[in-house]
Amino acid sequence: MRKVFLALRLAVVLWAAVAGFSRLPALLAPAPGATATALHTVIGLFAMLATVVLAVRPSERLGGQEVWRYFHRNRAAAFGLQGAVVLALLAAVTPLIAPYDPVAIDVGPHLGPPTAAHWLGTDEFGRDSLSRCLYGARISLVIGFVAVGIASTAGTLLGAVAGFVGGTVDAVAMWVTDLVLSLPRLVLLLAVVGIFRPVGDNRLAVMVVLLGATGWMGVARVVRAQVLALREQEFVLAARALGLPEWRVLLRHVLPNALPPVLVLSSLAVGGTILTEAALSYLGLGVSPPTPTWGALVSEGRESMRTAPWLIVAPGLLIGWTVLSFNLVGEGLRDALDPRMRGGAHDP
Amino acid sequence: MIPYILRKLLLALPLLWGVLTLTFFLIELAPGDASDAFINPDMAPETAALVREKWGLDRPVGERYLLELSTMARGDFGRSLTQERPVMALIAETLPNTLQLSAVTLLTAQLVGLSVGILKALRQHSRLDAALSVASLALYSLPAFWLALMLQLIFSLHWNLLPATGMTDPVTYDYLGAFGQIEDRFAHLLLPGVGMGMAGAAADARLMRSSMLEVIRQDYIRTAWAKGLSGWRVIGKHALRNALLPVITVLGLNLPVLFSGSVLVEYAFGWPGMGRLIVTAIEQQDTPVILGCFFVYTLLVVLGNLLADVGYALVDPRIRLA
Repeated sequence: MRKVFLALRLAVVLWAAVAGFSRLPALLAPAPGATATALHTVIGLFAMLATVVLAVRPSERLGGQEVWRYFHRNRAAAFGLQGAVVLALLAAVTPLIAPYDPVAIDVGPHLGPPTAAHWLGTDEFGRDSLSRCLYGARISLVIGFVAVGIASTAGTLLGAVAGFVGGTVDAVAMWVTDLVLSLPRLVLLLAVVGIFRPVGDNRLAVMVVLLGATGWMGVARVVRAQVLALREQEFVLAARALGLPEWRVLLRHVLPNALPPVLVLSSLAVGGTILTEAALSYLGLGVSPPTPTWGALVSEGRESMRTAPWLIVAPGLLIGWTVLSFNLVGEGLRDALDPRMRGGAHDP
Repeated sequence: MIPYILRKLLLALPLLWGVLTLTFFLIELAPGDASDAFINPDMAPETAALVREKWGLDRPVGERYLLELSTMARGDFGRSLTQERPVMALIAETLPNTLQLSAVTLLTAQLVGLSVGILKALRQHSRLDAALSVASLALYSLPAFWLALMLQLIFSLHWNLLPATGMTDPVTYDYLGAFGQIEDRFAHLLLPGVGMGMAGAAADARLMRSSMLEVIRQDYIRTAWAKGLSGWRVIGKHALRNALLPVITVLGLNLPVLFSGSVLVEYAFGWPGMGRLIVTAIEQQDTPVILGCFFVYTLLVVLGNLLADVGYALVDPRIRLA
């Protein structure tokens, strides 16, 4: 299996080298059709770095630590990681390998079926579906990672402070958490996105922030529970006895020990966030058109489902691949980090 | 158990108040209001002011907030601004449809998921287990709205077997006999209800499998086998009751997810439920309708969690609710 994925990775890099050597500067440019912002430059820089790292340094050597050994012994988790790496590589080199501009119209026939020139067919405006799917990978991954980063950071801080300080602070923080949790996330997002949609013209950044702002609750609860248990332990007492200030005890001694479950929750949340973003785009409330996100691609293809079913098949499968990869990684991490699960039968 | 339930319901009150307040001020933060759709730039300023006055949008924020709260406290949801109808009537029209669809989805998901999970646990490491694992992982990861489209593509557009959208046939329904009407409704339920339920079964199957695997390794199960009980009794009675505990907890916690999903499924299948009501209300910034819907969603979630607690106590006599 590992060889198959190695071959896939090499194929992507070769493809990028052959098809897009002359387009190298494009890696740093914003996606065609999108407004140029600092965010896009950051994405571009990140993409360049990711290309080098992912192509040169295979993920098998990510570290020889115990956790990684257990992680890799789990075939499902390794499969997920490899799947995610191939996807990230594809997203990183998208500008090099995408055969067409994703927003350029009339590069092919309208609603054309898959051909040698357009592998995944063309949409109602004659845009190349493959190129749009590839750029969609980029946008979906960025949204997934950044939104989860925001949510996990916020959740960790809130949960840690609530658990460490306790008392009224804890009660209020957990009440707010329960409050937000008691609304269906998608319904909450519909309200927030519907309301803040007109704010600014950079919908991508707005989307990322809103997805982050509605995803912190689970992390906050878990971190709080961890901190509650940890703060009673003797090493915390020792740290206090040394005369360290409270914030230092929390940040340097308690928090690091509460982080492993956050890692697990976060990697599971990446898939969930990508699904949620796709759902919002599908409802027409995502990043504004013509920016290609996978959900928007399905939504656009829905109109011509009868005559051009190939338009919705590929983006849906890509969403599935991404979510599957991150779920497998998350579950693998959970099993590897939880010593009770080691040695036992790994659920595939 | 009764005092426990009463206390939980009492605790739900501040939660409902919090949700309403949060939602109200979120809508307030948004630029524009419900009158935007009815006011055009050519309108005389007096007319525009009249529209706003009629809906009470000209009053200060604090006053409107208190007004909304007092309407809610009286058990009434007020009137929709854009549809000129009581919110209660709108919800009464759509909520049963949503509940019907959710119930069918949930029931299918549970029945299929639990059976598949048990089967996988009993045949652990078999080819069947592996095949079902791959299938449930795939279903678990694919987006629900996309699966909905695939179902429509295959069963409605390609094979022309089932209706793709709606709750009833728009043309023939009124002319069908009682039996035909039931049949028509059933046919419309199959794809969104049963189809999406099958997709939702994947998560249940995974959970049930691991829970069952843990239980059937216990000593008392070995004892049950040693007593010579039939397989049906051992698995169905001794093992199942204990294996169901985590499933019930997750079921209660997952109710918001179910309602999230129902918004998408209703949209994809043109189902006239609350999901569509709330999407339109949000687009039109129709505050009373949004607040009413959020109230109902929160209430449903609270009730669902309560049901999970009670169910937990019923399945496991060791647990006492206090």
